[in-house]
Amino acid sequence: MADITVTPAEVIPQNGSDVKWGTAGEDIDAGEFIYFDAADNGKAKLADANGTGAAHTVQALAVTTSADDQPLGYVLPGAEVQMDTSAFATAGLPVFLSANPGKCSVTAADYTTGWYYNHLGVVKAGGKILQFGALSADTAK
Amino acid sequence: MAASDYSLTASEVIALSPCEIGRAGATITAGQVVVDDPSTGKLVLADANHATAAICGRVKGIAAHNASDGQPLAYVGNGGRIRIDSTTATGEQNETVYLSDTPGAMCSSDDAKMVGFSTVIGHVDTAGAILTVQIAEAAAAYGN
Repeated sequence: MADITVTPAEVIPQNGSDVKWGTAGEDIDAGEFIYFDAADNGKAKLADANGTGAAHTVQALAVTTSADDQPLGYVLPGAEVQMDTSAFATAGLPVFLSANPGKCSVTAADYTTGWYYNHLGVVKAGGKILQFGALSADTAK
Repeated sequence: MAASDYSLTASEVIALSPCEIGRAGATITAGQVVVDDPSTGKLVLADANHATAAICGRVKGIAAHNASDGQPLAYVGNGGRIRIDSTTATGEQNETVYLSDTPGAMCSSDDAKMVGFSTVIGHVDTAGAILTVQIAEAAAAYGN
């Protein structure tokens, strides 16, 4: 799967997108997709389309770069986030979770047996902005 | 530049008390001292001898994670505690920590780096590891 290259410094939540705060449970970069690990005090960790347990269900999008145990800012589905990557130049493009932890892709055809579909939203017209709206399958392909 | 700014590892900096929230106006690394830039309302690196005097006297706290311009930033403000885990903050219990003349950096009192506005950032409350933030700013610059 061709992951989209996101530059963490370019990831900016847009006006009106409510930033919430949690605690990172591992090193997380701005622009990576996360879930909250109930087995580890609800700390944020990297989501993964072929991850085990809760890991394959995206819950939020990180908007800060934080190390393990540091505060982590994130947005929930419904938010708009500037991702500023050339891969997001086409409006309306759907975005999917990758099987590489935290990463995303625009190639749903790459999903293979054992992966959980995670639709992460669509690219908004202009500005390389993701309209974040996570929809996760509860059954593996 | 003198050799004795506290040397920090960003990933080892852990907030130990609730953070305050602002927005970064520059690239900021966990453990750096931030000030409120009155011209933008964003947080930028504190600097004891910053060319803009208004920025020297508005220390808000210590960044708790990395952030880039425009991103949200959580920081430990006045009264808070933060693990800085510096190998150079070897000072003794209760050593006072000052803002350095290196943007974002801290130093101890014997470093001759306390030029411009002498701003106390806090004190080390367990040698080398944990800083209690207690900001006190000079009313006027000296030296440099």
